Amino acid sequence: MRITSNLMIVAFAASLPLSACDRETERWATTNNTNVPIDWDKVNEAYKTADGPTDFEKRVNEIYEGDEVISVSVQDLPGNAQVVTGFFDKDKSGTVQEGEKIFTIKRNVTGEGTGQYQTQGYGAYYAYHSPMMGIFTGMMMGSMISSAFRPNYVPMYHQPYTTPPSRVGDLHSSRSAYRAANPARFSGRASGSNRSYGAKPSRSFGGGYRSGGARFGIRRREGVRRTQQRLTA
Amino acid sequence: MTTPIRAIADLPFVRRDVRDLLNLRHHRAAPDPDYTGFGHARLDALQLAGDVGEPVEVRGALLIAVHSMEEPEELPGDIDLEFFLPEVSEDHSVTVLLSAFLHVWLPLIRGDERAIVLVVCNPNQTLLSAPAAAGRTPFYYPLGDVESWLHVADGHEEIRLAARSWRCAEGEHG
Repeated sequence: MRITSNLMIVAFAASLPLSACDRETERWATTNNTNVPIDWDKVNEAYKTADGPTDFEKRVNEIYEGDEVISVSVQDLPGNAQVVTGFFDKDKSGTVQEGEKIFTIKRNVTGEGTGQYQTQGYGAYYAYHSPMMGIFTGMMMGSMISSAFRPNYVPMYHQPYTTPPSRVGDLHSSRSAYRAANPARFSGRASGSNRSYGAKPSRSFGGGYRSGGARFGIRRREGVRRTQQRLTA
Repeated sequence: MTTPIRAIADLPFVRRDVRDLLNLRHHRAAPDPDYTGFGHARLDALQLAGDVGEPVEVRGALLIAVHSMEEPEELPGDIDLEFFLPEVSEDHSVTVLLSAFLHVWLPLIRGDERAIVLVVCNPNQTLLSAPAAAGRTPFYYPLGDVESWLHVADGHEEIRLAARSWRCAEGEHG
């Protein structure tokens, strides 16, 4: 018993953390009915390094491990802000409809050479909220973001770019080729439609799924007043 | 409305089914940040997962699940807890120091468990000592926030508590 305890402690010591910042919002979420995870860290990184909407939509579909193709809408807003929406174009309309949204990424320019962006999940991914992520000149960024810092920047997507329905087939084909070229990552996992093509979550737990329970800290709830009583004994 | 709580020992800190205690009864994509349930439970095995390294399995554990106050003040060796008590009145809460809480409750709920696992957000990453009532039983506690998860794979279910990291304190007592 004593030996077991000590071994356990040794095992813990080996896994102690090295960094000190707060735990980030959980980066994995799983759909209710498809069990298809999205690695949000990779989605965020893809936005940061993409060279444009078509590059981003290609990267996002390589990240996504389900059968569906994710379409992308990119719209520039006043003040060099930008909203990127990922969605399942179920009705093949080429526009974002209610109930199709998977995520939005909102980017703002906050000063000369500085900005920030944040990702929010929707639908089955509603629980995901990224932290506000800072960006600044000198960071490794793709032109989709870095162009906003140029003095002569002219927003290109006042009229939104949206993945044309005709491109969905091409995205599907290029993603299939990507998956075939990466068999180690995509091996033996059931897809959202229960056809096996392969993807295994990179944070492996055996090809299954996981369900969230609770967080054990009281969170401020807007508009809720409470009577608080202090006990000391 | 029931009688207000007058002492720490009056808190309705009861033994619960572990799935109810950790809010794992129903499937959800992510942990519920507004869950305020608390209590204690026993389970044969669970995984303590940190940001670094593989999860550690703890067997024969007494789980003590409580909530830290929102934005708790940094206190050396202690954490401010908050208990919502809807049975007293809606949005009525009681705050109490973790050390005082464990001093009262741990002796009452101790058994022959092989480990004690404290489930509470510890956003200030406060280092804790094992409470006296823990004796020589390993006392695990988190650094950072804690979330409960149920992992299901190949017909096997596994309860996992995720935090930035976990520490193990062993008492000088006992």
